Amino acid sequence: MPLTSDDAFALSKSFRDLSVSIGDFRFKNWSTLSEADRKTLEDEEWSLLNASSDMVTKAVGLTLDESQAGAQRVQRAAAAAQKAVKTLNEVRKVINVATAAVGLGAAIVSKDPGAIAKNAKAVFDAATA
Amino acid sequence: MRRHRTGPELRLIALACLALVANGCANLTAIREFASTSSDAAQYSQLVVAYVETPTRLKRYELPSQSPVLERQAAERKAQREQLLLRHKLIREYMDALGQLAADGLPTYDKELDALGNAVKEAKFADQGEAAAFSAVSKILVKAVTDHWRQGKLVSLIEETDGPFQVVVGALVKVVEQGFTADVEIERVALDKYYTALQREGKDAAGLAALGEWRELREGQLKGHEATIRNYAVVLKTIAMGHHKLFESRHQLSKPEIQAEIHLHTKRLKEAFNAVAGL
Repeated sequence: MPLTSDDAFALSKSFRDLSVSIGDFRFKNWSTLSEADRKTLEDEEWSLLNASSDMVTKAVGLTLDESQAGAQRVQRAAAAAQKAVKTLNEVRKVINVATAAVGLGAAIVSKDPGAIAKNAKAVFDAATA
Repeated sequence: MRRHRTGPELRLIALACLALVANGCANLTAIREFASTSSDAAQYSQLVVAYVETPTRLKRYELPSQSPVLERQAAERKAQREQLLLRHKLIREYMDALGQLAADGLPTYDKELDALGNAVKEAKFADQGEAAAFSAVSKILVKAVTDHWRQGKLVSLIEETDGPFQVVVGALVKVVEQGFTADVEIERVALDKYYTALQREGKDAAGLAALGEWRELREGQLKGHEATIRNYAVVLKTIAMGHHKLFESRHQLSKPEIQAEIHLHTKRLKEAFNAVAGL
């Protein structure tokens, strides 16, 4: 099913919310996180925020028709990721979820249906591990 | 010394007035005013510029490792610039033609009309509904120019255009309300991450105070930008509503009560646009 501009706007919000949630985790655990973990999380946050920005660009340009992104599946994966980040306490797991979500964002930008499906599953797996 | 009009002179004036009425020429000042205000408002393109430049502005907040992504995004948005500005241009061109016909003038030919037609041919709009609407409005504009339309064709212009015009303006409203607002939300998150981290790491009291003030300033700028976006959406919606009013009243445009209603739309439009321009 082609991705519409409404889907792209919704995905933009999902990626942005996920970036905010990971940031909240980073700032909440600031003093207990290692420098390296803080850096890794921050990197993922910016990548997710930029994925959100990519979705806005696509929604405004309305050029997503060929991507066959499976918007609902992607949104469900992003929602599961956000929920997991809000409840997880273990930094490794948060990093895994964030990394998988960044991969999903990149797959959508690359318009590769196979990669999108694979990465959406990876996000689900990381969020429910 | 005051000269009194003679009987034959008065008869001549009365005849001239009758001729005007017979020609179908009417004083449509309110429509001309609405068209001219709409055309001015459609020229406002600062929001498009801000949207195109968002990835470049985000560079100041993000880690250097994100620069290649932001540069790609900046290039993609630069490529969208023309498409976005074309919507503004179409509204402006149409409103200029509307005003010219209302004044019983000939719509002028602008080479930009060719660019509009070409943009549609080159499929710059992936949304087929919008592409069709865009094409319909630009075709009517070309027809009005090549067929030398005058005031007598004003009703046809409004009648043929209202449907597609609403689609084109509606699409621009969506871009402004959803796209540009989402952009502000992203920038706000970036700003928040950047300053929160700096404030966590900072030790120097004076430095932290300065940072706090700078953060406030940036947040204020974003709020101002957000308000501009909201107000410009009102401007576009008022243009669309005003035009639809013209469509609904197309057969009685010279009636004083209709002119008064159009004048009211123009007044609202001016107020909304003044809010955008910060006047």
